[in-house]
Amino acid sequence: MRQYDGKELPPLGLTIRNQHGHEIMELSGQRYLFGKARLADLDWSVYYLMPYNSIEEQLDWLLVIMVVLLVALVLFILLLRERREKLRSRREVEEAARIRTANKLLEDEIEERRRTERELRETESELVQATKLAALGQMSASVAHEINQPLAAIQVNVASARLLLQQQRSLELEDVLGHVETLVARMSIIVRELKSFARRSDGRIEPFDLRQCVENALMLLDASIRHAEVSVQQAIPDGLVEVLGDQLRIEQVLINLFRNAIDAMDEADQRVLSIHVSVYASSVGLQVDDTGEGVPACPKQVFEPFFTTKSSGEGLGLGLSIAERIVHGVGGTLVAENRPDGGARFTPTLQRPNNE
Amino acid sequence: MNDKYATSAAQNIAVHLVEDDEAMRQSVSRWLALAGFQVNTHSRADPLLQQVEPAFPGVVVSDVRMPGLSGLEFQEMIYRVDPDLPVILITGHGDIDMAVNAMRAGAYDFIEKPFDAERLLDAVHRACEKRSLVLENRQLREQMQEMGGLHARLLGSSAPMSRLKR
Repeated sequence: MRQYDGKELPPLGLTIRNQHGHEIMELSGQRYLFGKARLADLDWSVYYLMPYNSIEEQLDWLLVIMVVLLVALVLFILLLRERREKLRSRREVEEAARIRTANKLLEDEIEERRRTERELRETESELVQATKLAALGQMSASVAHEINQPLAAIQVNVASARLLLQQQRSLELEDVLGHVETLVARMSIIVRELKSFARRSDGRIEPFDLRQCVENALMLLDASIRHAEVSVQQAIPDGLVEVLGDQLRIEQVLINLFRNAIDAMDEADQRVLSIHVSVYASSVGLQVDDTGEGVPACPKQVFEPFFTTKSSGEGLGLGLSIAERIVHGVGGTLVAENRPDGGARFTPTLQRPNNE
Repeated sequence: MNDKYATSAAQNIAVHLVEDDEAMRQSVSRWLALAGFQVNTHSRADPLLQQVEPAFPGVVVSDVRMPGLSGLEFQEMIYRVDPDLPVILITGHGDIDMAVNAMRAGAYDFIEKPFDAERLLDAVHRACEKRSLVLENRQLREQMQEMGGLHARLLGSSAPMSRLKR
């Protein structure tokens, strides 16, 4: 018995087409995806039809989902990019801010440096002033002594003179008065020296005779040299030895160097201050040699302000520092070294005027 | 003035002036001489130190700052030889510390330059008198010891006592 026994079975009018590698069956206007499987043991063939519309529908959905996903992806990427952009721009802003801060710091630093330099200049000029005062202090102590002696002698002589006047011993009175006159002259010399020391320097750089300068410095230190029993040797070429500088300030340099030499030889058996002038093509060197202990292993140290080997109260340690500064100020150099045969050597070198 | 200071007690006492500054030495010695003192001048302390002994018939006026022995050192050395030998110190740059130390070390007086001439004269006068009395006192004591016993018990120098002692 068959299901369709005796019935006429008209063809269903199906067509099978091959589309994109799939077999598509059309049946009464409907399209089906057509699949076929063989069941070997039954010797059957099973045909499986799936309405194409639903597949298309599903495909449409898939498409929609994919488009949505794509859009989401694009959006996501865009978002990422924007975030990155934002981050970058924020970084740029930060960078700019940092640069600005750095610039500000730099500017501050420059300003700070300018201020420091200004302060340094001021300190330097204060140092010059302090050295002057220290030199004046030392000098006034020795001047006080130098003036005190004749002053005390004059006072005693005046008392003697009054006594002699009362007793009408005019010859002896005359003698006492002559004595007073000598003492007054002695005091005037000291005062004259002091006045020349106190004279302000206008800082002009002009040619002057170094020999005169050396003589002035030695004259001012005469009392100290004699008191310290120092012998002075000079070797200065004949004729005018012109150098460039401010004579008064260079005089102060020489006074400082000579005084340093005298002090350095305080405890030495042999006390010789040698001054040796050498004239070169464009400069003049002045060697100041002593027979003292010499300078420390690092000779530059002696030019540091407040460096001193003297006991306290005998000097501030500014003399050599100020000497170096002054020499540099007029375009010269000042070198400290030890002599081969002992003792220190200070050599200020000054420029010669170039009009010759 | 002369009469005022040239007292009998100080007549035989010499003033030894030690001063390295010639002008000062000259003016002070003249002033003291005018006042009636016998003055010996020295430019350094060392040679004078040799002469100093307990019976030294003089007083010392010395500058402090001098080459060689300073006035302060000189004074201390004299003090060791005879604490009753007056030393008057003169200085141009003395401070209170120096003065106090000098007086503690036994200096008789401490005068700062410049000084009033009368002030020096007064100090020298007192110093000479003191020296004179010290020496006299020592002499008397020695005499007393020499005489010993009985004489030591007879006190005073009134006329009857002197007669008794003889």
